[in-house]
Amino acid sequence: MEFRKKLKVRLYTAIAYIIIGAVFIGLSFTRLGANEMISSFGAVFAVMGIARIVQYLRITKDEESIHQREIAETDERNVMIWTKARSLAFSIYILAAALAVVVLYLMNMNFAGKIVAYNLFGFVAIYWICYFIISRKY
Amino acid sequence: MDNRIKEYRKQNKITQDELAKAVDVTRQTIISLENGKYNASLQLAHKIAKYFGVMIEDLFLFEEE
Repeated sequence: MEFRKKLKVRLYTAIAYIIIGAVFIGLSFTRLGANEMISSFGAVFAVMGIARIVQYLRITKDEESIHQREIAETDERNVMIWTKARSLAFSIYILAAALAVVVLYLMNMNFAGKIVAYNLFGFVAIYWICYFIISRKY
Repeated sequence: MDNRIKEYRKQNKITQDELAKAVDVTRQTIISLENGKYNASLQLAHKIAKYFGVMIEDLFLFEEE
């Protein structure tokens, strides 16, 4: 995808975040969603959306900054670092979650342990699905 | 994998920033390549070699195990 189109998609995503945030904040004022979690959730979405729009405006202020950003995002060393960081984060998460399951069961917090275990299972399942899809592509 | 990027860059009197811009990567990538901390992809190796007007094997020293 051409970089400018990518930036446009990011702008629309940011607008969608703000709309979702506004909906959640609006819901928090009704009886249907009257709790603090919904309004905090909405605020987080709205702030994320605004931050992304500010970033978009900074990137698109001139041709040079668009080009600089494109280079930074497509630079092969940066891509490798992002991939390695994601991979390491995934490994750490899997280990931490597996440890948490054991500790939670030992502490007789079976329900919480079950939730973490399902979450772990879901993550591993998603990994294998992604592996299957990507391996068919290459 | 060793390389002679720094040598060619100095010979051609260009800065890391200029080389980075010419081959569409960040300056940090050029620094890492010169320090031997990062190995270039085939595509980047080709771009750098083309920029200096040399063969890839003149620029990158492949070591057989």
